Amino acid sequence: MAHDHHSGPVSAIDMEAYRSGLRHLSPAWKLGVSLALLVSCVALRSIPASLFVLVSTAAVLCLGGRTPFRLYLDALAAPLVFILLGTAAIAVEVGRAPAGDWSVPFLGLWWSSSRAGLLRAAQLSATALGAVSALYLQTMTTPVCEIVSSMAALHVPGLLVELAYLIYRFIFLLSGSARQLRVAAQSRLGYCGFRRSLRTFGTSMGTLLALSLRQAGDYYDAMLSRGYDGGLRFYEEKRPVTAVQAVLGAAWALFPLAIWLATR
Amino acid sequence: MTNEPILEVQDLRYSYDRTREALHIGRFSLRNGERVAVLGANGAGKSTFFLCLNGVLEAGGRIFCSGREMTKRDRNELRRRVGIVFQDPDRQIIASTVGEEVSFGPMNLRLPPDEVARRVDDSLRYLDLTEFRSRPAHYLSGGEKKRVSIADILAMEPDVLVFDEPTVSLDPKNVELFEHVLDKLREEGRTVLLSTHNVDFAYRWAERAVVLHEGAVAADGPIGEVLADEALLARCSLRPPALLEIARLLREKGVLPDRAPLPRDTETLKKMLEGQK
Repeated sequence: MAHDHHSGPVSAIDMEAYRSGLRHLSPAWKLGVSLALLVSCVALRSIPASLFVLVSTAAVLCLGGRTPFRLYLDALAAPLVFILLGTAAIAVEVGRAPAGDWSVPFLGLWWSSSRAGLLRAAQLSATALGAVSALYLQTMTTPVCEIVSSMAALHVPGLLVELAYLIYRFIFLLSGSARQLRVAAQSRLGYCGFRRSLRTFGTSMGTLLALSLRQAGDYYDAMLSRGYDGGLRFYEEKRPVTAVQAVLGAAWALFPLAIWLATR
Repeated sequence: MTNEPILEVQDLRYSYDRTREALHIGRFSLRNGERVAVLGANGAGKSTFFLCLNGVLEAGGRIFCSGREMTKRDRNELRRRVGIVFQDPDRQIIASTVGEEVSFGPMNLRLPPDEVARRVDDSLRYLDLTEFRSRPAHYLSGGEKKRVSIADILAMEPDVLVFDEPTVSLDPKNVELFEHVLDKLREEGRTVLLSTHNVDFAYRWAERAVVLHEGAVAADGPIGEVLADEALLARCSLRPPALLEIARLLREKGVLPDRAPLPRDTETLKKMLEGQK
């Protein structure tokens, strides 16, 4: 089979996670720090603290981890649209009479806004952006398989961990098969017109199911032949958290709290 | 003791649907260090044979490893001794990173962590994959995936290495790389069993050929003799290697003497032709 070319933001992030300069750090450390930063954004709702989280995670990701800034911005753009649309509704009120601190008549209605509303919108935007960026600190530096393995350390049942691991692996196999089927159908004009497209899509999904079942059977044989007996076991290099990392992580995670206390 | 076959099967039978036997091998044995090509048309039973050899398919009959019979209890032992590299690496590679993938077999053998690490290191180095260790398997090229699937099996340190159609879907450069791996294995005196449709490649590499036809052994002997038997090849839908046909033609035309030995590779043929001048 030819080399599969993956595109799209999800696989770009997946690929970047393997390349990240911060990959060698303990997955548990990254998970811990990123969760702590995320919680501090959401719990404190402080603009300076959230901006600190946003800027510090971006700097560590792009300077420390050498994640391309472009990719980071692209990844941030999707939630940004939601955040701006959502907070616009909070910042601006529409009514039959003027209200708040400023009002503008438009289309027969009064569009008004207040200092408090604007502040609240800014606060929410900063919180959401900081939280998303804190999450990216984890997703852009830790491949899914490592996140899944660190789930085992958190005592998630083995069956769930193994399922998650296999599903992750199968996503790439299935998307590869699906792409081949789609290209083969396209080359026979299978996607000309709406009705035909629907029909082709339906049949190819059926074929994909049959294909995947066969592939799963072959997989099982190959696993058995390497001595599989019901448990997925891989050798993982131990990446212990050093004392310096622990201290730095704790300091970083607690800094937003300090900022909040100082600016309250 | 040294003459004891490293692997021997007697009366191996397997059927997928209980009505028709897909495989019936009366007797087959492998000696230490042999290089055997398994030839046969599609559906002749090559893959089924391999899966029976390491106990993934439970076949009737008896299997011996170095003289000791492998019973149901020894299933894991059999899987360790007979390692199969499957045709499609995408139906074998299970882990997300190359290092984890190669560790899967040794981990299943319940080896101590240090030993697993050593074997992973060794196999990756053997196939020139060391720098791929922490790379994701799903972004590798076809040839790289093939090498990973071979490292998978080497790490289990099997007595017999089985390759199911290894050259299918590899480009010429990767076939060459694969042949280098085979050369290395030959120098180390490893026992290799390999199925292929590429008779030219089999003729070059193997010393013995086993022809499967409708689930049974149709021929088993030195590859030169087996591939020279035209009636057999026709019956089993196989073709003779191009080199053999050319050498025969040269004999007919009197370029080579009638009783000249048939060459195994182009280099030998070249020397023979130069000797004629």
